[in-house]
Formats: sequence, structure tokens, C-alpha cells
Amino acid sequence: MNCMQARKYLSAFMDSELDVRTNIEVLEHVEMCGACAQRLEEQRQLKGLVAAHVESIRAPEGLRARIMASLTAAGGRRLLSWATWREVASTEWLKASAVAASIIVVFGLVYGVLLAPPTPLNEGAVRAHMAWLGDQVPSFMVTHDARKARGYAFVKFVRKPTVPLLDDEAFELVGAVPAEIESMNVGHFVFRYKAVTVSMFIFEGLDLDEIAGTEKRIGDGFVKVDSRGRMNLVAWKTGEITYFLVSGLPQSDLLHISGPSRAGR
Amino acid sequence: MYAVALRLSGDHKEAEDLVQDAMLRGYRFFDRYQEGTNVKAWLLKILTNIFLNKVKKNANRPPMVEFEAVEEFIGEAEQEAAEVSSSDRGFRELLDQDVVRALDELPVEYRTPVLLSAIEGLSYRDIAEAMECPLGTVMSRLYRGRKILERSLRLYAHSIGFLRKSGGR
Repeated sequence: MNCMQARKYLSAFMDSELDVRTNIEVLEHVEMCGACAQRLEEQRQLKGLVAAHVESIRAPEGLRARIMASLTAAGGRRLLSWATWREVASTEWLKASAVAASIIVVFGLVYGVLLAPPTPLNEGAVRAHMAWLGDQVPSFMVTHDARKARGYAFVKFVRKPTVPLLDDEAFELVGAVPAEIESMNVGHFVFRYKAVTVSMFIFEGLDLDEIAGTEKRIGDGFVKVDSRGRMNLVAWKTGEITYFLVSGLPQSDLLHISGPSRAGR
Repeated sequence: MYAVALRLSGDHKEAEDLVQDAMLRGYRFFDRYQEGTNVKAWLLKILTNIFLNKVKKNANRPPMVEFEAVEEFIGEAEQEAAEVSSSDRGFRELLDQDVVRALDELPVEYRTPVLLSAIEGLSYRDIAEAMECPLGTVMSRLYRGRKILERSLRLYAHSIGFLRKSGGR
């Protein structure tokens, strides 16, 4: 991908809205191209300015009360207009229950607005995770790119040629999941494999259909392996969670390592 | 919700009415809300939809710009790629009022996706549903909207730098 192609995607790349392949191509380009990396940073600043402005605006005093009053009034009308309720709510007691139920719905709605559900991927947790990973594997440079809105992150380990490997010729799952990270809904694996290990990841909620390629059943889930340029991709799904790995490892090795015994939490 | 309503409409009273209308509609059609999805996104979609329908109905407002062709979108991207970035100052020195001014100057069809995309958790799909347009349109309008916004803010940033250099206020 050249600059011309990359720049048309930078805006959507920043928003985590590109398909996996294009996303990887843009990511690779931005890592190599200082000018496009700067453009991306400017885009992020711009989005940050708009977000900061929006977050700084406070609703006027009294708006909440006004809305609550109108919702309560609308609830009363709505409940009385339901034919079924007219039949069922023939006693004062049932009418009172209906009003109570409407109030619960209103509170639920307001609660949802004030405390919106958390996004699938916690960016702060990813950052903490990266710091932890960096300590675990000093022979690799760890970079990441959080795809927050899509609920997954690319994590990339790049071998530092000047630093000796901790453990060669071995593939293993390294380290336990720190409890504070696991509780923040971030997938977490560290692999070392042979002397040239390059493994990357994280993810939850990635659509398995985003990756085409060889499919393979793995116990209670299944896996897809695909290639893109220098990269090999693997996505595997176990239960409700889809994991995604980008790697420099050969496809055959990816199929090998993506078995449930190693991939499970 | 109020913040988005205010920046969309540019008017405090209209923004309050928009929020109230959206909450009422949300309540009335709560059975259409899919449990487990982002309720804030759902309500923002309703709010945006109400606002854009008002805009369409209001003859005094300028008409919505038609969907830009994909070719045009790509063409602009290519042209932009050929441009050399003239500033390394960034936008850090800009004031909130500069952002407000630049946003308010942005045509509504661009301002809407630019605002909504800045809200945490809102996807292009959510924005497309809110604006009742295809995903590709969201992408191209966002691209173009951000570009216009960037130009305006760059001008402001440039004037800040110019004023500082000349010792003015």
C-alpha cells in the first residue's frame, strides 16, 4: 500500500472501521511511513478535540426533571391506551402496578444513558497489558493498535535482534493472566515459538467471517487461517469469544498452535 | 445527548427539545431496543434522526448535499495524498471556541457524522442508521467533513501562531 492509498483509509482506520485485511495493510504502511503516521496522529488530535468539546458540554439544570416529568406522563397515557391493559387492569391495585412498572422502565432508560454499557475492549487495560507483556518478553519490541470500537486490538511482537531470546526452540504459553487484566475483558496470550517467534494479538468479539481461508474444527470451536502478504492470520472461536492472531509464523504452525488446549483461557 | 443536540442544532432551546423528543420516542418504542446493545447509541440514533428530519422539512434551511460518488471520494483522497503537510504545529493550541466555530461552520451532513463518530462506542453502522444512509456515505462524509474541519482549524492554529510571533493577542 502506498501513501495515496493509505491516506484515503486513515480516517476509517482511526475509527477501527476497516476490514481486517485493509486494516493490516494500513497499519503496516503507517508503521513504515513517517508522513502518514503524522497524518494519522493529526486525525486523532482532531477527533480528540471534537470529543473533548462534546464531553465538556453539560445539560442545563432542570432538563432531566423536565424529561422525567414528560416520560412519566407519556408512560401513564401509554399504559392506559393498551387494550390488554384496559382489560387486565380493572382494579386500582393493578393500575398502581402499571404505573410502578412504567417508572422502572424510565429509570432503566435514564440509568442506561448515564451509565452506558462498557465498550468490549478497555483501552486502558490494553495499555496495561502491553506494559506487562513488554516486561515478560524483553527480547521483543511490543507495539499495539487498539481497535476499540470493534472490540479487539492488534498486538505485535517484533524480535529485537540485539537482545538474546529468553527461551529458544520452544513454543509455550508464557505467564498467567494477571487477574486485574482478565477482569477487564481483555484477551491475553503470550507465545514463544522456536527461535523466530513473532506472535501478536488480542481480541474479543471479532467476527470470524472477517477472515477468509482454511477452516478447521478445534474441539468446541473452530479456526480459520489465512495469509496476507508477509502476514499470516488466524482467528479462532471458542464459545462466545473470537480470538485473532496476526503472525509471521507459517500457516501450518498457526493451525498447529491454534488448538483448544493452548488457545483456551 | 444534550451536547450532540446542541452542536447539531446550534441552539440551546432546540437542543433541549431534541433531547426530550428523543427520550420520549425512545420510551414509546422501547420494545424495539435490542437488549444488550448500547442504549446511548440507540437514543443518539433517534435524536439524530429527529433532527435530520426537521432539517429536511424546514424549507429555510439549505438542502442536504447529495451522496458523493465513490469516485469523487477516491479522487480527493489521491489529491490529498499528493499534498505536502504544511504544518507540524498540530491542533493542541486551539481553544474550545475555535472548535465550536469550526464545527458550526461545517454543513450539517458532514457535521453529523463528525460529531457522532467522536462519541465513544458509536460505529459507522450506528451512524448510517441514524442518518438513514449507506455505510459508504458515512465513510466519505466523515472523510470530507474531517478534512473541512481540519482546514478551518489549521487556519485558526496558523493565526494563533502568527499573532504570537507578532506579539499581538
